[in-house]
Amino acid sequence: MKYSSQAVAKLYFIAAIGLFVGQILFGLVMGLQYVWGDFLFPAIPFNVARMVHTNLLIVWLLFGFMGAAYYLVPEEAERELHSPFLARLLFWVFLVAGALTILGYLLVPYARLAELTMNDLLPTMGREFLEQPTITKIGIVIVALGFLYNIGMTILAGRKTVVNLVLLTGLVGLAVFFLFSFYVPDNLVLDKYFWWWVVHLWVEGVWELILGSILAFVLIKITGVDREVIEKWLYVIIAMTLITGIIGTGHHFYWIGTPEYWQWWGSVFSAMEPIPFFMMTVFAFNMVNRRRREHPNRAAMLWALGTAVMAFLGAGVWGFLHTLAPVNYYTHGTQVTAAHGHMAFYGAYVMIVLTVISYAMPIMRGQEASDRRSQVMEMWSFWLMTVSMVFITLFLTGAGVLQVWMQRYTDVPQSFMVVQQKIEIFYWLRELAGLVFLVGLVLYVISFFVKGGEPARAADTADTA
Amino acid sequence: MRGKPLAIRAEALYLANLMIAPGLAFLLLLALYWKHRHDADPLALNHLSQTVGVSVAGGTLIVAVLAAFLLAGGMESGYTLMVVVLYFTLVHSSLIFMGVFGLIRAMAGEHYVYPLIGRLFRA
Repeated sequence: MKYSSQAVAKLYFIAAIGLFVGQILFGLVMGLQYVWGDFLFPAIPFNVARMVHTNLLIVWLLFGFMGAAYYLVPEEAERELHSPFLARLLFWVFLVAGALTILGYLLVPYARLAELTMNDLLPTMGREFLEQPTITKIGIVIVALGFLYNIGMTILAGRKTVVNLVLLTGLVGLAVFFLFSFYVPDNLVLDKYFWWWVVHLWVEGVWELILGSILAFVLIKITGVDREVIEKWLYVIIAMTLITGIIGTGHHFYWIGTPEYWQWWGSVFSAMEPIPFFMMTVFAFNMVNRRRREHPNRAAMLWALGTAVMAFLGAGVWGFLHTLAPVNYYTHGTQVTAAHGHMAFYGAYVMIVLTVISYAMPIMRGQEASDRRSQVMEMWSFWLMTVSMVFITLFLTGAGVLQVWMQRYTDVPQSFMVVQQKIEIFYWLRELAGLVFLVGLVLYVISFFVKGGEPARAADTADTA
Repeated sequence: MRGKPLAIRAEALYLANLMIAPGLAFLLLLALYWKHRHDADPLALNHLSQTVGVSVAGGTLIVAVLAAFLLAGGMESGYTLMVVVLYFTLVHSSLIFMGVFGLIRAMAGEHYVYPLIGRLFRA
């Protein structure tokens, strides 16, 4: 580790992994509730399990992004972090606020939680993914501002690289677009419209900048390819991300009451959204193919390549599958959307956070790479989680296509619950795949405590050739 | 145009055929192959023959199997649609990933044989 202040990232990474485990457990609970309706009812109703599952995902990814920023920004800027104390303080504020919010979801009826947190003064609760009490949202803004100040001051005083500037742009965008969660107009069309400014412009906009910069950083480190080459790729990728992703927001506006021209704008631009993910795949494999050293951290390289592949599949291919307006007319809100959501989040954002953790954690623990046995276990966890996520996606896609056919396309549509019963087998299969995912995650956690086996040594490819 | 640039162009057209200009990009790829089939160096010829061969085989694999699914399952079945969507998505994505590896090899000036079906089209 070049700068001692990079060590604050470790706290964030540990919290991220802990919350990730929680997210998967609640995913399994609600997966079972799909087929066993009163499982854990009334202690954990489906709507609460779903809220905890999705909110934990967002919170742990934010922990991961912040940890990644605290690790890579000092190294890129070639100076210590502006204030490690502030970073630690904000960590505890965010963790306590996040934990209280989740406990609130679980222990208090949602309407009562709104009363307790004085939602009536500035109503922001009740919208999917943005269910957090207003006071939590204000806390998130404060943490984000402190975080951006810390990162921004570090970059301002140090070396400016494409990697840290793209990362900073993404993080600023993340904070700015979150502000739309405070805007809750009475008009439902406007409400939905601006809700997507948070949700879509995060995951198909600024988060991709964060993804691209973290991937570029890790590839610079593990391949030894010239920074200039990687930076040029990064420029093109983020340009394509913004060109396609911003107007691509239109694919959410098809059926919410906005003008019809959004069906054209949304279809055309979002049909191009796979392009940056495709470029990311070419970029990652090209850099690894041109590598000038054999980095001992094989697991990190596997995660990096896996990110590129799975992001393209989940966000690109499965996104394209239902993005054109005439197709989306039938598919919106079905299990096809759930299939896309699962693989896209896993491929693009879960995997990039695990990539940077895989690269940085051994270094923060005093090794260039984990022991061989630990890496083997980590790579097993990679394959178990990734393959099971592919199956989760396939089962949900199968369920979604049948749902579209029986519930929407046919001349004699069947009711929602009748169709749900008919596609029950897919939910069982999805639950089984989810259990395999959990096994992979448990192995991932255990891999941090496994010792033994010689770690592979770094070597220039010229030496080994 | 010889060697690496020609190989890259072949792989790019193969990918364009799968993603942004189906049909048109394939015709351009065929024209490129026809024009350089006698004067291309081994690297370019490898990538030209692989991309043309796999495009034809991949296209056949998609169309023929989808037709078989439709004939066997009938057009009026949700299960047929499900199998068709899953099959097409998986095969099409696999062909894209093979093309990515081919493009990367071409950019590095290396030969490439597509997995499974590529062995049929060695130059």
